[in-house]
Amino acid sequence: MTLEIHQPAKYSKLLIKWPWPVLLALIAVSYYFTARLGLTFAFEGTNASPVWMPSGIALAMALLAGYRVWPAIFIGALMANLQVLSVSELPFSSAFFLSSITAIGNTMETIMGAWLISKFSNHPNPFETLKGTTLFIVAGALFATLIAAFIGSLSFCVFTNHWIVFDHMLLNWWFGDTLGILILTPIIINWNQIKFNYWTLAKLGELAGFIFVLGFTSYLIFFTKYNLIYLFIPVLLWSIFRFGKFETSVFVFIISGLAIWYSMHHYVNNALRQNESILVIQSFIGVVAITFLVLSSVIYERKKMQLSLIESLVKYRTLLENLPQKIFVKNKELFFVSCNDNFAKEINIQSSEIGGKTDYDFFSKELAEKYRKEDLDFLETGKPVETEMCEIRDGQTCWTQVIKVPVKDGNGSIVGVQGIFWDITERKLAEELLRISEEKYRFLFERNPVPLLIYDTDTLYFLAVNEAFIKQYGFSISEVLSMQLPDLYPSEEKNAIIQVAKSLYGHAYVGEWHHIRKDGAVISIIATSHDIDYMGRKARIAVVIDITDRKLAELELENYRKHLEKMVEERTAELEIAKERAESADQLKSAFLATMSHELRTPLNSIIGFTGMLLQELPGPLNDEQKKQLRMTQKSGRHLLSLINDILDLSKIEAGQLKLSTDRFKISDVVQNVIDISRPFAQSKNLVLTCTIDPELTEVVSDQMRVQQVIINLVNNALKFTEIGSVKVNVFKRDNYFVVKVSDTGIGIDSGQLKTLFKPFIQIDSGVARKHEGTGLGLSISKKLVTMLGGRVSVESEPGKGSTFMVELPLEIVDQV
Amino acid sequence: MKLKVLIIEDNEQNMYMLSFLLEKNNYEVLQAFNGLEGIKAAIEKSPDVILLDIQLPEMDGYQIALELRKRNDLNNIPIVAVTSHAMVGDREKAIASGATGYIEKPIDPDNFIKRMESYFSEELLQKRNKS
Repeated sequence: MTLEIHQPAKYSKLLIKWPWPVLLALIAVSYYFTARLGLTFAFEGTNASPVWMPSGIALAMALLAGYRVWPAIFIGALMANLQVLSVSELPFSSAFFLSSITAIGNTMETIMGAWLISKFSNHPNPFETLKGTTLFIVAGALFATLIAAFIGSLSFCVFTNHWIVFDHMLLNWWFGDTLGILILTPIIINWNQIKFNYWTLAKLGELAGFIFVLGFTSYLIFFTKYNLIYLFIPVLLWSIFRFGKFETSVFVFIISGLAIWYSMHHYVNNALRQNESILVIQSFIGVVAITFLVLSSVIYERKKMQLSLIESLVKYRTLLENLPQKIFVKNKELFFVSCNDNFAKEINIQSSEIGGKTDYDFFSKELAEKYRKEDLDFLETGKPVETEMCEIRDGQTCWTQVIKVPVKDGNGSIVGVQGIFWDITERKLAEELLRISEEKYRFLFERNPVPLLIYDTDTLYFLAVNEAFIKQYGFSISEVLSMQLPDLYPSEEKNAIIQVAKSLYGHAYVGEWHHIRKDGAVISIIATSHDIDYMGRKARIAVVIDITDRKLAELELENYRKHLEKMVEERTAELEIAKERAESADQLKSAFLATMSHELRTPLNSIIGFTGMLLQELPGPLNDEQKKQLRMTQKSGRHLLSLINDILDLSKIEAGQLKLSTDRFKISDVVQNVIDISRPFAQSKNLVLTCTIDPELTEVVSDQMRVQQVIINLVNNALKFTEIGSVKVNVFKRDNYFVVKVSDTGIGIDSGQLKTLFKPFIQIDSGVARKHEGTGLGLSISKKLVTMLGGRVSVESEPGKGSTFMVELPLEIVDQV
Repeated sequence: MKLKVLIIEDNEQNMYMLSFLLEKNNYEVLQAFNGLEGIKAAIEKSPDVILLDIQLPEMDGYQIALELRKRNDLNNIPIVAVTSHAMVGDREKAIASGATGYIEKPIDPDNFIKRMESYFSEELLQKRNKS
């Protein structure tokens, strides 16, 4: 069996391969020669051929290659007609004119036919549908040919004025063209649908058999005396059912040829009979051709339909088998009718074994009854159902999705049930997991103590907020859901947040903003947001942290810092003033000291001076009592002077007014000087005053006067507090220092008193009647002077045995301001 | 012939005391109570030694010393500053101004003459011994 499935581009392809001029020439030439061939078949005394083959070729070409073939048809027809008329006695010009008109008629016939067929047939090959074939027969073969026949016959009769033949000629012409089209056009159009690979040996055998039968039939028809022409009908039916359209067209062509040949030869000497029979033959051929064209197209259509049916059946079957679902069909009595392999596998049988079985054959009684009851319920309603079933199998929960659809017969009444089911346990598990996970996330979202919000990225409407958000902002859920993101922001930030929100897609974001709560309070926040798919919408989830307190604290801190700075500035200014005041106070003090020094000494000058002179008896002799009293005055004057000197010294030191003068001098000179000064005092107390100086120690750089002052003070103190024994002065070098050690055998100092020894106005035994003269400032001044000179003073003492004072001073003091 | 001592001193008690002391010690005393008077006396009366108080009205001792030292004929005269300005730097300031020596007030009559004479040149001492 062959199946010719139409492919539209195929027809023109073959011809388009030819170069256009060649194609036109070929058409013209074949038109001309088939015309000549036809004329040889023309009946005696006429130019009329029972089958005018050029018409068939022309229409086929017009259908295959388009209207553009018309010049070839025109030229072919012109040549053929000229040939026909060449035998007549017409002059060439007349013949040419007549031929031209006839050729125009032929061309018009072809173009008209092709136009009508292609316009009304939606199929490029008209023979593949019944509609196309009918159109071809009516419009192409019968109607369009009438044009050529009419124009040809009319022009001929007008030209020859031989009207007697008009009707006969018209009919002959018409029929000839019609048959030419009916027989030849299908052959040409179907030509390239021959499939050689389908000619198997068996088919070729059949063909041979067919040709034999055809030959035999022809013999019976044409070479016996019986008129058995109808015998062709079964033969052609054979062809139609067993061979293709093309082959049938060819057989029709052969039979037509045989019929013409027969009639020509049978009535070879009888022109009248010939002309009579020509119509018979023509009608015979026409009927045969039309019948078989129609039949052939009907059968083709059926074959095609059948094939597509089979195809869809196969597809359906394949689909069923390959579906992962399990599918079965039961009839109304709930016997299984069919199933797919997956179902069969489920119940451990072959799908072919299912017919006639029931649920009882495969399932436990309860289960089978349950299934049957469900099926029966379904059959009663007849409406498709979709359910999910849960079963415990081998201790495992199994989920099955079941779809039941009714099976209906052609009248729409239910004849069975088709069940489709499949395992959805995995899906169910996944759904369950998803549900749990979603619940978890929902919990995380809803119960999060931090406000969270989700908004639609496109519309900026809120999609969800959590409890913390509601609590923080004071809006109700329904209020929030009718709000857009910018509604939370103060007006000056609205535009900015819209811009930001639009540009965020695809990025994580952290930013500081302000939000307005329902009560109108503005809070500072940090928002962190991410893209999220929320119920299929492009959305963004944001975590909002209230940093208002932090901001306030920062502000407060900032203010505090500023305040502190201001305070520091103020205090600095105050200190500046105080410093200035202090400095001016220092200057005042300095001037005061200078004045005091002068003013205090001036009266003492008189007291000490005159007392001294009186005692020298310069003004005159004194008696003993006078002398004694004057000496007391002198002593008091001197004490007062030393007191003043010490106070001034101390004041100067403490006011920073004491200035050191450094020079190079021999320490031995200084010590010797001190000894000289102090000797009279030592002698007066009968004390031994000795001095040892390290010969290595020569010159030092220091303040000579101050060094001397310190040593005098120490020596005088030692002498003052010693009644019996000696005072030793020992000077030696130690590293970069020179040490002056003054030791006595005096009363000594106990450890408690040692602590306050160097404090001003402290004299040991100060509470008791003052046995010892002195201001009590000497040690204090000495210590201060030694410190100023870069040294230190220390004391070791044992009460009752004596004391040792030691002064260490640098050999060379760095010159200081 | 007695040595002539010019005392420039504004305080009358001091003037009296120094004068008495010096006269008792065989000096001839010339008195001036202010700077101008002192300079005038120094130039006109050619003293052998000048005792100069520092704290003086109008013209102080330093200025006087500077003025006296400007004159060549007074160049060799010992000028001894006698002052209660016993602050640090006073001595240096006096020497820098042209004073030969320095004796702080209050003076000690017991050794005043001796200290003053310690600033004398050999020539002057011999002259003193002859007197």
